[in-house]
Amino acid sequence: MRIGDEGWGQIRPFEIANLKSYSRLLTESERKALFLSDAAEADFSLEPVSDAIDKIGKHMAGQETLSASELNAKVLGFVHNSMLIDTNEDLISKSLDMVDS
Amino acid sequence: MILFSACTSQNEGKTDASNVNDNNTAASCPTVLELPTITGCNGVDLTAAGSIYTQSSGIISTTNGFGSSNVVRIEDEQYIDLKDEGCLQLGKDGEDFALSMWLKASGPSDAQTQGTGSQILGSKSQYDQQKPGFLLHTEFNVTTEFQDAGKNAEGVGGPCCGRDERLVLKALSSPADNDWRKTVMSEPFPADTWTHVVLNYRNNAKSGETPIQKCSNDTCASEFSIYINLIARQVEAQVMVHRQLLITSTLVLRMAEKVGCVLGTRDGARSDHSKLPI
Repeated sequence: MRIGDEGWGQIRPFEIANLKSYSRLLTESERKALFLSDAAEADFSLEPVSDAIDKIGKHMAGQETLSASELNAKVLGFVHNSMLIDTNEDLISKSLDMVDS
Repeated sequence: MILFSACTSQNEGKTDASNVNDNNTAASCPTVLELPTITGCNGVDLTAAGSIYTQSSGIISTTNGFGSSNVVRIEDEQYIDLKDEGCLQLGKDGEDFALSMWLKASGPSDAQTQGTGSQILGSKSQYDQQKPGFLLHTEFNVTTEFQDAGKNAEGVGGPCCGRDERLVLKALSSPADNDWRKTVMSEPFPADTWTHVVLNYRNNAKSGETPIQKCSNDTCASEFSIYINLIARQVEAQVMVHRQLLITSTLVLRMAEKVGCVLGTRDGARSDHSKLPI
């Protein structure tokens, strides 16, 4: 096996860390453990999720108006970090409350 | 940091959500998840000196570049050839295999005039249709919105048209009998951003004729599944993955509906299944 350029054409640069192989399939919980173990190093955070729920909730309630670009940024922040939601019970509750509102 | 006051388990070999940066102080007690056991051919570090047969010059390896992990940077014309022995012969005897990594790959550039994206890892070249094996490589994500507009996203280089600022990963595979090369494509993800990637290969070389909707573990074709930050394409996903994503995907859709925001996603992703003697 080869990591990197096969010698034809050009490749764009890339960086790689924690490259591990397994002689079996990785389960859902193992994939999640591998992700969570380094999520902070990759700048994943619950803060954008919490912030999006708070700000969008206020926007929907008419308490705080967000521009279209601000709304988009909040939603993108939520989406990017949304796989962390089920690690925090409070955020799950707030998210469900917002959907129900 | 999140404070999980009711939880004390932080055992070696295990992880929980308290590893995630945050200022949220809500108490919670997450399920403790177990990292894969590192034993035998499981958890083999492919960039460790013991795995490498030879490598080209100029490759930069940064100690502790990603937490406590080393980072290897590969540029054009650079490569690392792994030893063709033992645990490094993935799937050689028909077994399943998996790869896990954190990847930070570059986006489109006018500097790349031949080829698209990056060849990450594999046992074959994307340019050799006949050679059996597999290859994991990036391509530049294309949206119909930009295609229809006859442009790339602002600031995105490379040939016109349709490229946004994101990448996709493709796992292509070729069987030994010159049959069709098949490809699985991942969810789009941001370029130049650390992204968690898992590639699962379920080897079932003697089957594959039963439609995927009706097959069982014994009759399904061999298949690749690519997970980007835990997210798999729905058609590749197992039932558990659907359940895992149910809350977040529902929330995202409902939020998007409520705020009138339409998120760009790539349509028409393909999922194929492959017989893959490696």
